[in-house]
Amino acid sequence: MDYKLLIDTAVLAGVIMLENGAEISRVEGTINHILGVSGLKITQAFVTSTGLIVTLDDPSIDSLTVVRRVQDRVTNLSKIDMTNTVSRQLCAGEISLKDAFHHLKYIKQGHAGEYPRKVRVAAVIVVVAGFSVMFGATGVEAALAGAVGGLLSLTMFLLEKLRVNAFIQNLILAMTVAIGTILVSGIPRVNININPVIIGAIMPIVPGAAITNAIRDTLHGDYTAGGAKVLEAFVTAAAIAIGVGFGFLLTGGLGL
Amino acid sequence: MIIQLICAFAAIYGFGVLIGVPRKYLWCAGVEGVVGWGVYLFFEEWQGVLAGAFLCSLVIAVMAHIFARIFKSPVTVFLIPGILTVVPGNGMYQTVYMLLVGNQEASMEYLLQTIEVAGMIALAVFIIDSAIYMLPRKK
Repeated sequence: MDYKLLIDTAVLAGVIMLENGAEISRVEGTINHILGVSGLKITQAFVTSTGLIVTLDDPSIDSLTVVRRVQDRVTNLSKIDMTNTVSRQLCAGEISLKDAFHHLKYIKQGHAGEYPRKVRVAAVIVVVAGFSVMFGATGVEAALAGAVGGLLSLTMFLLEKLRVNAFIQNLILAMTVAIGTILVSGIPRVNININPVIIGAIMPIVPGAAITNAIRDTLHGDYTAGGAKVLEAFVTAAAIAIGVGFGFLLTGGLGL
Repeated sequence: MIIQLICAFAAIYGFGVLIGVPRKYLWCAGVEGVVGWGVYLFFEEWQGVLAGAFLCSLVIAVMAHIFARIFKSPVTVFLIPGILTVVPGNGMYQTVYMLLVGNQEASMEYLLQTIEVAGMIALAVFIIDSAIYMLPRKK
């Protein structure tokens, strides 16, 4: 068996999962499963939220160790799902190691799960309007929330191009939400309650994924990653809070 | 109530699109939103926000594990969109708003509630994950 290709395949699978927001134990599990195909004695995966170390060792071979640093981090559940499928098929012997490696390369470079821009704009609007109703908005308020959602998604695309860091990004997005809401509430003859509109509009940027992963990593004893995720959730929440506060102060919204 | 549930479906479905849930599983996310929000509304009225958040997360976590088993896909794919239903966006916002209005007491109350709700979500996911982990698994 080509151990070099095996370890490369395992590492590639691990990197894809880590980059797209899987929990640590899931990443380690997948790597170990793939390495298990070799039947060698020692297969170890050490994964943190920013990188991974994988080792394959046996009395019969020289040990192989690979280190990878992971820089980009997004949430794309499609890629996690596809990687999981490939790993499953490989372990069940349904596809060859070479095929698995090529599939993974294709997943890493492809755009699976990245819905077209128009669909994403529509999705943000639906999320914002939907949540505002769940928090008690009326029909008019939901419609205005949808408008704020549209503004939010435009700002998101703009910020994606500028490549600013996550904290500033969330801060600006929250500020956009606050300012946008105050502006639509200023439309004459429309009397609305701004609270459900703003709450609905910040839902797409609240750290839901970070909270969920923080819980699951901590549960599995990956305290380093769990702690990092908790911190990420708090920092994001703080950015949103500061952003909304700024937005209010800039527009003098509290006096309106 | 019906309108709220429809909105819950739409909102979680849309969020699924944003975090790249595979197209074939998007409806699962929507269903989690509806059931979760229904449970939340029911228990919130009856027992308060914390019980609502706890039971809602519990139900969503169970559903996520069931979906994951049926479709042979990682639990994360179903858990992350589902949990957004209970993430305390309201509490976070009210904490800041009350602080800005100058009502520190109310702000602290909301902050506490936000942390408590987050704790409830954690507890529910902990319990279900541990329970599933203890189940015998076929190889």
